[in-house]
Amino acid sequence: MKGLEGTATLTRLALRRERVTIPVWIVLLVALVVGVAVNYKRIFPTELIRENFVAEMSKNLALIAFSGHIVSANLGALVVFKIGDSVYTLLALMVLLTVFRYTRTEEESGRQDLLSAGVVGRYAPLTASLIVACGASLLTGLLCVLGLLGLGIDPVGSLAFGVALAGSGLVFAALAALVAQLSENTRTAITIGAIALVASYLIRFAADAIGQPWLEWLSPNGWCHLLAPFGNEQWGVAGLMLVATIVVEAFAYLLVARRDLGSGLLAPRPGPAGSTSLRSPFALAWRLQRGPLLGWVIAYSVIGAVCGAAAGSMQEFIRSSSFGMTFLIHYSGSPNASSADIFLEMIVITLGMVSVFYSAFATLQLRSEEVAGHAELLLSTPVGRIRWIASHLLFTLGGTVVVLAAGGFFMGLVRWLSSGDVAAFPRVFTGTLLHAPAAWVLIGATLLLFGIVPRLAVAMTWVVVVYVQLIGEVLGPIVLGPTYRYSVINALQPFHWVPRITSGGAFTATPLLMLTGLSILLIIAGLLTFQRRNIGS
Amino acid sequence: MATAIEVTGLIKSFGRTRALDGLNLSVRTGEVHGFLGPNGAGKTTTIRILLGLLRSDAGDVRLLGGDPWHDATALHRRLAYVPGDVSLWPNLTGGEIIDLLGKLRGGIDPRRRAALLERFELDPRKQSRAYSKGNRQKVVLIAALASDVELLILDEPTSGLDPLMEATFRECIAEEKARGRTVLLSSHILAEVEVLCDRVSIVRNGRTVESGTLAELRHLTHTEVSAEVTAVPPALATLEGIHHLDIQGNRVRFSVDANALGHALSLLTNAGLHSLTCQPPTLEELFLRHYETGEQSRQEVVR
Repeated sequence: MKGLEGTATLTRLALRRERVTIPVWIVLLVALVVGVAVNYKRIFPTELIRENFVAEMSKNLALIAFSGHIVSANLGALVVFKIGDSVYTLLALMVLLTVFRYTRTEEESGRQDLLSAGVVGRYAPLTASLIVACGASLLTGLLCVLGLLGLGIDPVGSLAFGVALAGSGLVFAALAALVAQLSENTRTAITIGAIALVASYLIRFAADAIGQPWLEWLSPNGWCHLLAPFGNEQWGVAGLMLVATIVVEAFAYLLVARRDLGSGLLAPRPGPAGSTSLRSPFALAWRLQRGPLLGWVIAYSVIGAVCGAAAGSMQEFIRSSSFGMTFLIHYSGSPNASSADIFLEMIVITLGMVSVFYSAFATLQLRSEEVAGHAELLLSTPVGRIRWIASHLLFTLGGTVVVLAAGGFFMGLVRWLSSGDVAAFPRVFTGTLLHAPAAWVLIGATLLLFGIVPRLAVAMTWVVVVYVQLIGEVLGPIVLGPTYRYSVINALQPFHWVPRITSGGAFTATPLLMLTGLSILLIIAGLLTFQRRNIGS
Repeated sequence: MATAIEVTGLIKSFGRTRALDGLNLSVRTGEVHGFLGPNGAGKTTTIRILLGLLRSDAGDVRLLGGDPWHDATALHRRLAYVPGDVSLWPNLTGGEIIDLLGKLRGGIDPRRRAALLERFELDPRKQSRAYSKGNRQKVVLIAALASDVELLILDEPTSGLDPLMEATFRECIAEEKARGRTVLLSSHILAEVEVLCDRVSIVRNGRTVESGTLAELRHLTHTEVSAEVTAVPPALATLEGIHHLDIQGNRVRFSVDANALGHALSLLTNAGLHSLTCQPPTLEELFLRHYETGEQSRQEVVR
């Protein structure tokens, strides 16, 4: 077909370049779904136990808002409740990044010029990227269905879940195809894509939090819930997803045909002709770091405020024989905490643990600057190595505190105003801030990796981050069972040691001082090793 | 100080590859020194060691009287560097980057900055992701030339510039030299080196194979002679230092070593000289001789 010449070759090129990345994503996503299913099969063996759990959970809009309504007492419905939104979102993220990698990044780097100078049609790069991204989505959906079927879970519901998951991938692949046409650079495209992804989740969240289900129709994430796997499946929604995919993609193809290779719809504006403020490496680091930092602060403020408000709708659990309690109790810092406080603690812990993504991204900026050759240029001036590292470290260490403070401040403030309990503010605010030393340990570890094994620093940092997340709170209960909190493996991740004062835990300075000391040691070791190594290696 | 850069017996390996294998380099204060060699000869590695970015495995390196690894920061106050493969922060404009680099080097002369922007015809308001390779190079070049430093280290600074801008670059370097600055210029553009450089060093496979003024280097090689004489003197065939002798009737062509040139010419003069052209070896030939790999090809050129 005209305009599609070379699609097969480009697709093979993309698959060759993706032979590690996409398989790892897919395995991770399928493992999450199957892992939760295995765990829940053990925790909720009978229909009666599940019904009690569903009844108790459904009373709490605050919990429902996070994962959507539980559509039935079917085991599969519980699995979707626990892990559905995570995998819908992660798959969408993978698909966004994949499409951008083979469209906008290729154009921006100039590699597409090289390819398009061959017998390659105008639509071929976009088509190849969509084939790979959509193929990966369908495969992920299929493997999840097979996994659930293998565990003997309801086949119709399993299929519907697979369709919802793959559909989420298809819709976001189409969105990515469109967004890739807008800006000249990948960074802007990723920012727009991420905003779309977060907005999609937040609209669905709001729909359930304020009880306005019609809002769900406005969000791709909402469509996954409207499809209602394991409930009263609405197959028409799958049709809606397909139509949306086709319409958005058609729009993207129209734009591809009408623009120059390498250009975007948003024209770049001329910038300043000089600068009086860029006078030190710190000013430069601020300039490079401020955008992401601002984004994180806004996101944490919004999430904090929303969760602070949602805590008010938490019903008191019946302490004995409560499944809701078994679901939440491991977040609690004290056996007598109210369920609202346990809920707040759960959010505080989540904010703390998720903040390491910011810390890791910000610290790894050092490595990106080195790989891009920017470090070489800077270090050829009187800027010393320590000063260069310090310029970025200031923003990663301080930025982590600022991000946590923003989340804790708004969550505490809204909780205080909505409950009238003044003491809630310091408990939530301080409780969130106390996670900073644990995040600093991650920053120290990243810096040490950067000093010792620069080539592996990025990959190994993400391994550490994933280890902390998985062992921490997400996979901990699945892998290690209900007593995971007390295992050695959990004790190896820094967040284990943070006192849980939001839910009545006692404040103890010792672990925090130890964490701070450990991060200082790691940072010093990182600086010493970096000073001794070659730049650009 | 007599020498700005003094490198002796420099060795640097990356894993099993030996990038530098006993390299020597001596740059005198106030001179423009050409640093030449084929791709992968070790020029950029040497420069990165001079900047304290890489650590040498063995050998002596003195830069402006200091140790480039230990005194990096102090030494960098006195030099400016232009990398060969310029990568800039994509979301900063060219003007911002010039100011940043200038400030980091301890200040920039705003009038010189404005003059250089005009001479190099660079739009400072563009984000650097929109610049071509040549324009990215101009950004760093302007920042270096407008800074008040003693030493310029330039790694193939003109590889992306058009001929007009290359001419501007040559003017600028000549001005810098007149102001007493030292320049280490790594380059592939031989015409540029021939015009600008006082002395050159040629490296191959991580070693210095030749170093000196162009006159000295030429002295080591042969001159092409072509003449028309009444009768070709037979002594020419047996003269030490004559190569490629080609006699066609009363026309003769040969190449001759510098030390045998006078003798050969006196033979020709005595044989009744009608016309004579003498061509010194071009820089091109000089380099080809050193760039060629393998003994065989090298001998072909020399013989």
